[in-house]
This record gives sequence, C-alpha cells and structure tokens, in this order.
Amino acid sequence: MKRSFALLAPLALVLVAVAFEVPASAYEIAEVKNGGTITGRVYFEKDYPKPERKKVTRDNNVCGIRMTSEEFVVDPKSKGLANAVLVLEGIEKGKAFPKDDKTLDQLKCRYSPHVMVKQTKTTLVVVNKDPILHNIHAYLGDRTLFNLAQPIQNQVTKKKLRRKGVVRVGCDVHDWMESYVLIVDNPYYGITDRQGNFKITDVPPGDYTLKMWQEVLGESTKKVAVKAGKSAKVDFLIGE
Amino acid sequence: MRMICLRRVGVCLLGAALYMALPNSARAEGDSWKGTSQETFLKSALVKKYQCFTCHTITDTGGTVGPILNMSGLRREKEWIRTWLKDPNAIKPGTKMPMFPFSAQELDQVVNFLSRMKRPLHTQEIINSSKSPVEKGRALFKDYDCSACHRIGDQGRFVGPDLTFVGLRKTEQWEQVWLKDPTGFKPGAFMPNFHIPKEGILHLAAFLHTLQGQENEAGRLWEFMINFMIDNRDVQRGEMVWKRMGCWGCHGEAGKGGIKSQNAAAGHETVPGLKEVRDKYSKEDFFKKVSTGTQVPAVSKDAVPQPYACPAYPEDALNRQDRDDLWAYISSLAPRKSKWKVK
Repeated sequence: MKRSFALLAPLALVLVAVAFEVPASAYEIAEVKNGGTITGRVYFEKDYPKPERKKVTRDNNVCGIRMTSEEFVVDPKSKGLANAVLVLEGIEKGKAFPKDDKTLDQLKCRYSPHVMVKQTKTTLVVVNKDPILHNIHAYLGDRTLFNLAQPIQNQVTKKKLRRKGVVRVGCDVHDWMESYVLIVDNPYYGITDRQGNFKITDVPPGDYTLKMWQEVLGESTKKVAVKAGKSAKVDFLIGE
Repeated sequence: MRMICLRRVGVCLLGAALYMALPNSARAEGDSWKGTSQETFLKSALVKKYQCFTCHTITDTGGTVGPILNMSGLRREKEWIRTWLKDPNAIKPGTKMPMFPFSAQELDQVVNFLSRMKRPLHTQEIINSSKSPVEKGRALFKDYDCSACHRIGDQGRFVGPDLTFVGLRKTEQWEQVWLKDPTGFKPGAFMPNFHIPKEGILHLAAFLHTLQGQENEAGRLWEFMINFMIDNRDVQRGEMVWKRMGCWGCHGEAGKGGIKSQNAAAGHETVPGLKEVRDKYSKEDFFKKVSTGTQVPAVSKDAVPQPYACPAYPEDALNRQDRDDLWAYISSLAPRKSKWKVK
C-alpha cells in the first residue's frame, strides 16, 4: 500500500501542476524603484476614416435606429485614435496589476466598453442591462470559445479567462454588437483615450518592445528605452 | 433636397407594401395549434423569460434565425434535445444557439415540450396516393416539415443548405443514399435520420432532383424586400446570395473549407475553402469557374453516388447584382485588408 502511494505521489503532483496550469515563468510582483514612464499617441497623419453608420435591424425600441461602428473611433480635432491597446512585451517582473472590477455591459444593444484589457486567469463579468435577449458569443480566432445566453435583464455571467490572446465578443441576435477583450500576462499596458493618448507608469528601467494592437490595423511594434525616473515618448502614426 | 426625401420615402413605402403582399416566410404554414397544451406552454412565464421566439418560429409566429420548432419531436429524441440544450456548441461548434441558464426543472419542462412538438405523419397515405413520384416527394417534403431547416426560394429556414439549386449539385442517387442515413454517410452531420420508408425516399429524391433553380426568382425577390429592412450593404446581400446558391454545404461556413468528401478519390478528399479567392482569382475568373463547374475523380468508377462537384450554375442563376454582391461577400472572407497602415 505504502509503496504504490510513493509511486503515485509524484504523478499526482504533476497532474495537479498541469491542472492549475503552473506556467514555466509567471509574472512576478516586485517593488519598482525609480521606474520610468512611457507616454505617447496613436493618431492619423492626414486623412482619417469617417465613422461608419449601420442600420439597427431589430428591437429598435431598445437599440435605436442606427448605430455607429466603433472599429475606428477618431477624434476630428486631434486625429487621435481611441481604443488602441499598447502592451510592453516580455516584462516578467514589476508592479502589481491594477484593481479590476470593470464589467462588460450589454447596453442599448452595444457592448460597453468596446475594448477592454484583462489579466490572465481573472474573471470576465458580462452584464445584460437591456430588457431583451442577448447572447455572449466569444471567439478566439474563428473558434467559438463560449456562447452563453443572457435573456434576463441585469443577468450576470462570469467566465474565467485562461490564456493570453484577443477574444472577440459578439451577439447572434444583434449582429452589429462587437467588443474585444485583450488578455495579457503583465500589467504594463494602456488603452488610448479619445485623443489617442496613452500612458504606462512604473516601468522598470530597460529596453523593451512596445506592441500596439488595434482591431483593424492588427499588431505593430516599436522599440523603447526606459530610463529611471524619466518619461519616454512613443508615437504611432497611421496613414494610407 | 425635398425631392430626394420624397423619393426615398416613396421607395420605402413601396418596398414595405410589396413585402406585406408577398408570402411572408417568417410565418410557418401548417395546422392550427389552438387549444393545445403546447399552445398553453408557449404562453408560460418560462417561454417569456427565455424569449425563444426571438430566434425560433413556433406554431405560426417567431423569428427566423434558428429552425422552426413545430416538428422538433419528430426530428430529435428526448435525450438529444437535453444534450443539445445543455451545450449546443459541443454538438455543433460555432452554432448561434447559446447555452441558456436553465434550472434542472426548467430544462425538464423545455425538453418535454420540444419532444411533444410533432404532428402525425401521412407517409403511407402519400406513398399510396395516385400522384406522380415527384408530386409525392413534394408532399412528403411538406409532411416531414423539411422547411423547418431548409430553404427553397422564399420559403423555409437557413439551418441546412438551401435547396433551390440542389438538383444541380446532387444526383438523385446521392439524395437516396443521404436520406437513408445522413450521419452514416457523413459522420457528424447535423441532419437527423427521419427513418423514411424506402419508397418515400425514392419519391423525395425524385422531387429534390427537380429543384434546379425554378424558385430562384422568388428567393431573390424575398431578399430584395428584406434589404429594405436590413443594413443594405453589398457584403450582407452577398451573404444571402451565398446561402441561396448553397455554397456553404460543401465549402463550409464562411468558406472555411476542409469538408470531407466521402466520394472523392485520394488527393481530393476535402473541399477547398474560399478564403483565398479574393487574392488568387479575378472576379471574372471566379465567375467563370462558377459557371463551368468542377468535377473531381470518384473514389472508384463504380462509386455510387456521384462525387461532390461544384456544379455549373446557369448564367441566369446569378444576375449582375448577385455577382457584385457575392464577390463582395467572398472577398470579405479573406483576411481584412485596410488601406490604413501604421507608419
């Protein structure tokens, strides 16, 4: 009896490790002394895409008559592009993740916010704030990650997000509804505001690759050197 | 300015009037369900809570996203319905049908209801009648409620392939083999086995083989009317043409390809996807291929039925608007190419 247990114990440990997805190198929280900052803008050089209007094809009493596509949200004055996500690649040690109690809302037949960032192994909370049926159809690439109905107003669905990646979320009842959830493994990220500005703070000094993701433009990278106590500026310019 | 507004209003009114005058395929034909226990259930708090009518037509009213549920008890066993409702994506990956948060009791009620949704068949009566085989097949098509999932012209739903041109795509023999045992022929097929008697299968196959585009105009007109109600963009219209031509049955949802062909010889076993069409073909070459068709070698010369082939669609199957729209849709299957780039 004892011998078989001794043989099984290591196997059990391996199985437990696999089950809990103990990664080879997890992000480590450590105090950042004299960290630097990365600021910048994502903006259009000259021309920029005008907002695309789409017809709302059902449930007009809740959803309205027309909606504006959010694939390019550009501020006419500054030509800044909102909802672009900037992430520092390959950083394994640094500040803690910010407190995250943001929900993904289904409100007036739109997803709000249109783009959000979540940490791996945290829970996505989706709330249906409308008095009609929506479903949460989440895709990883072409594959369905999950598809859950939310028929009841104020219904809350919680789903664990396991791996890094870009999850697209839609609704099959109202096919114009779309949002993106970027799952990241480090807290050094920013989402551009309406003017296209972003800021990443408490960065341990060093040389990094800054990756920008946008739903139409895809991914592009720029190198950035962060010095102690200083601010580094990185802009992403978009043109034809 | 005023002239343009009046014209637009006039067109919208005309469109709405025409739409009302056409047979409304959102309404299912069939017997009245008045006074039945099924009708009572449909008025229950449970159905109101889960809003089934949003996507499904049940009795004679409801949505058009999913199948008509009037004969779901004929199509599916109780256990299948239960397994389906617990996790639709496990049975049909990518399905629009979501997982609903039923309690155990609610699930029992819904499963019981759906398994009781059926009406008696008239199979032998139809087979024994003095009609022609094709007319018997047409009657059986109606009796088995094939329109619950399939479309011909402007009637039916979009769950299974559109059958408007199925007589061009499939031989009569192929239909006979298919109807006898869909999942036996194609493992993982969503279509259930209806256990139709052999003679009934022969009549149905004969009927299906006559469907070579006669209802195409009706389908096209329905789409034209619907375009007033939906976001009238070429990609959306093109998707409806794509469905009407029945391409996805072989080329896969959104042209993903990789569908196994049971009939084809080695090296031709999977039907190609269409995601690269925009980048590999010109619009003219693509439509030339559509109108000349593609044949692949059969698994053996005695192989029955005929292997999958892209049929030669007749010139008038697709008018100029159809072609423009279908090309826009096929192009949208390729990776998105934006004119905007990060410098």
